[in-house]
Amino acid sequence: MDWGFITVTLLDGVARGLYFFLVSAGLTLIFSMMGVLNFAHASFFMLGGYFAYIIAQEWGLSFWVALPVVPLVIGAIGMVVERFGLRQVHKFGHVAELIFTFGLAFLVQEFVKLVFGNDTKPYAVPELLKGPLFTIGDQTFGSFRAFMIVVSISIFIGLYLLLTRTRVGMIIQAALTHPNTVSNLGHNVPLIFMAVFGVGTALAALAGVIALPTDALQPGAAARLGPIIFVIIVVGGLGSLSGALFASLIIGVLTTMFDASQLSVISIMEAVANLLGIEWSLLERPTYELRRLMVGDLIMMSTKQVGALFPYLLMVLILIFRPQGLLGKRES
Amino acid sequence: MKKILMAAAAAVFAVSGAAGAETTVKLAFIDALSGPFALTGERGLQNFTFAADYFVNNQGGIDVGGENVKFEILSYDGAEGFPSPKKSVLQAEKALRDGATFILQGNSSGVAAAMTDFVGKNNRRNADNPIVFLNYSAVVPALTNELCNFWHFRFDAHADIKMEALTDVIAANENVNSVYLIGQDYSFGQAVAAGAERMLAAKRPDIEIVGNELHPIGQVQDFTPYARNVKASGADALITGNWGGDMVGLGKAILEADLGIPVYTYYAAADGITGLFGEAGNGVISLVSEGWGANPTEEFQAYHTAFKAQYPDSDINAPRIINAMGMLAQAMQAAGSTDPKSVAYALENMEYDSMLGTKVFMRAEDHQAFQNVYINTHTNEGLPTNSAGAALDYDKSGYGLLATSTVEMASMGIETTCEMKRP
Amino acid sequence: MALLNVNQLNAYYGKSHILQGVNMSIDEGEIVSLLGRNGVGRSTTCKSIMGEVPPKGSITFRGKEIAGLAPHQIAQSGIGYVPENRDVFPGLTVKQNLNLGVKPGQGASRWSEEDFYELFPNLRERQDVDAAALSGGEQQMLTMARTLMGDPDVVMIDEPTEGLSPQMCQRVADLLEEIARRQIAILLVEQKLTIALKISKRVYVMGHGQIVYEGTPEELMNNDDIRQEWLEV
Ligand SMILES: Nc1ncnc2c1ncn2[C@@H]1O[C@H](COP(=O)(O)OP(=O)(O)OP(=O)(O)O)[C@@H](O)[C@H]1O
Ligand SMILES: [Mg+2]
Repeated sequence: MDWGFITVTLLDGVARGLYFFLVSAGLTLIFSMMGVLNFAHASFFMLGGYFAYIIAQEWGLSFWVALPVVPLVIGAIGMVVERFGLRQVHKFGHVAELIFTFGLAFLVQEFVKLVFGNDTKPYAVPELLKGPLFTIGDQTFGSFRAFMIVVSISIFIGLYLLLTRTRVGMIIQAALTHPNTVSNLGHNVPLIFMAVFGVGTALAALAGVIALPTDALQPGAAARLGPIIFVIIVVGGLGSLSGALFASLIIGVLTTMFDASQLSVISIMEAVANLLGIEWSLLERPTYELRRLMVGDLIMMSTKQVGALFPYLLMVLILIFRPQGLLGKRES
Repeated sequence: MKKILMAAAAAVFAVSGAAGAETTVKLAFIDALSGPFALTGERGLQNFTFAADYFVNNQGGIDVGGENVKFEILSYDGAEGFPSPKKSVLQAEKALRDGATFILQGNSSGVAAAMTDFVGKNNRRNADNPIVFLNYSAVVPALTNELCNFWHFRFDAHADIKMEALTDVIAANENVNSVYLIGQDYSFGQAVAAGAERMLAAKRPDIEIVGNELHPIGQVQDFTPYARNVKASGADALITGNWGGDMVGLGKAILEADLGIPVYTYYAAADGITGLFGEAGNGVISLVSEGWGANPTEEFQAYHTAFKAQYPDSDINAPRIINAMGMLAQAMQAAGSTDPKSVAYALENMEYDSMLGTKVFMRAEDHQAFQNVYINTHTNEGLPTNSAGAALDYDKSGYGLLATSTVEMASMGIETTCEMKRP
Repeated sequence: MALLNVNQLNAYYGKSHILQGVNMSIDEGEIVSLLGRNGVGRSTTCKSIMGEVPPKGSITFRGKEIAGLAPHQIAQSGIGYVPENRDVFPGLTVKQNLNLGVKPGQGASRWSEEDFYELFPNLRERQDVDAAALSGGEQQMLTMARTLMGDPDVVMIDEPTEGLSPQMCQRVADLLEEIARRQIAILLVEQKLTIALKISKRVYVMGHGQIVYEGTPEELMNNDDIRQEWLEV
């Protein structure tokens, strides 16, 4: 494996982790503020992709129109959902809220199927950002992925400044842990909730706009991302933006590395055997014969398969050893 | 007196039954109708519905031993997220209760293996009420080899037959000295990889397999790392059996990485994939399949036009479905009965003249259909047209598959380990 | 007319009926204590007035009905509340905590940050420290100061001296006196009779969700029956 390969794979992982962050940022703020795990959060990500595809490709406007418009539109939809959905359901308790968001996720998925169909839409990278930005060795790194990185980092910095440098940001931070007390001080917490919900959904939509050209735009997109962002907010610590960023990057980079790795039990056995100078007849056989062996599944097991489990494993470990998450503040 | 009356009534019924005899044969379509692979299932259902109407219902029914027979297609969702063997079998049981006598299924060889097993068991226990499984897409060779079953018929060329055709082309290409294999980690993906390894070793021992990767089905978010590995390996060609979302993802990553090598596939067309690849796939993507060839028959051209009139957003993504319905109708007429067992016997060794411009031979030994197989290129140039003059493209994209070489009655003599037990 | 008037106030947690017809009133600038054993519903009274627990009955402030308004609207009308759990906002500095007490659109205030730094030099020293790192007493001062930053006309303070050292209790008492000096009414919920009786003009005693006694501190001190039945443990 050469350095070019490692560098670009790392960058791929960063790009992936950063778009995970865009989605999980809203989820973690909403969760810790309202105490509701919003199952529909990833649905806004998916809607972002579809709306952008419609605007950029079906209507023939450009990706650059979709980029600002889609988050605004979906952010507004998010606020309506909070104001007229979640807030009404709130009186009936958390279970009702969970069921509501669950139903909403389902509804969005069926809506998407009905309106856009089940097929994978040919949502593509905009013309301007097609092609490689640079080449290391024989590996290229696409301009679009670099663009994803730049957009996500700008959003993180913007959010960070908003939360730590502005009065609204402080109110939000305070409301993350003590919404009632903030209300009692005369701040309109329901309005803040609605705004945060709106911004959170807008960010998820933005992630959909910039990530789905490299992924598959289809009605299953939300269901595939949902579990990952849930893992991220738990690992990062509920309500912690930096935690979400940190966990997103860890999971983005490591899952990409796992995907790129080609180690398997048999390849490790081979390396060890070579090292010891042992000639081993098993290794001469074609892989399909190896697979048929009694222990075939075991010796063919690869880091890829382990990699798919990795985020969940990490979550379980965190829940056991650091339940408040890597950068979480409160134990809950 | 009473008895006489009853007998008379019975006679009247019998006569009226024979005269206007209307029988509806229920065909149970069981495939993924939800989840990430739902589109493939939905399109399959449309294609079956259209073909059943074309061969049977739109003719006012077909005459089977003096009875007027119509086809009714019942549809069942066999997916729990992904195509699920367990759920599909449960649905098959439901279909039996609903009076279905034929099962139409194809997506995922894992499901097909469970289905053929279920059908075999059911027909042993319920010998009076058998059901026949018409497999239109599941191509793991085992289904017509060690897992073969009298009640199962496969209309698609199986993975080894397709691989023979592909490896013939690859072997003849002197620029190819190394090959990379990527597949989904289940029976079918493993079969593709095994076939490629075996056949390349036989046809071109000098070709090196520089990568052989299986990934979990339907779970890879982004195939970029895979594409990077292909690039890093320096392979001269890529072979993949991926289908559905896994083909879309892999294709995107490959085209983005600009590998500059031919990509040989089983399923990289239609259902959004052709549209997505567009110009980037031009001349890069090849696909092995049955199909209508470079010079489609007039009948097929008209069929295509009519299909598009009914389903403008859909495509004929599995032309073998036409053969499955055509052969079923013909077998019933030949058997003079809609009884599944008689129809199954009539299908054995049937030679069918398909509107696809090929003969289809259903080998009795293993119930595998043999037909012309094509190596196609993804392109927007020189595509044949339908009777309305529209190009035979996919996804309304202007791009489609152009047959560049034909293997007549591919692998006709291929061996099978099947020891068919007939009831 | 009383500044704050509570009439037949009922409140529930789910099915349990906690407040069962509370009647009380506070005049402009008056200091009133609400006494009672643990669990009788004193905090619930404050929360209902604040709208945090839905109130049934009538609550008027300056003659205007406020029952049914949202907590932030009640706060904006001029009622302050310092809850019993001293919840400073972690992750924000002392100064930031204080600033959040200022209401949106608030005009000139009777209180400035400087006032509190003068009263509690500790807070000045630690103004840039994460509020979660303060001692219990400092946190109590901070939450009281934070509420006062919003310039309320009446402030409900729930058990400010609980668990504090005698010196700290004295600080609290000093602040209460300072509040009174500025003509701000106080509803003080207390266990420690000494402080409550020293500064209050009137006291209410609560038992089982109702007001069972009302009088001046002296009257209460002279009424052994009431003290024994409703206050002493
Ligand atoms: N969130 C709640 N849910 C259910 N019951 C509650 C809740 N909060 C308080 N209670 C109950 O309501 C009653 C009154 O509680 P409240 O907090 O008003 O008491 P208190 O007089 O302030 O006493 P103290 O503060 O010393 O506990 C108690 O019996 C308490 O158990
Ligand atoms: Mg209390």
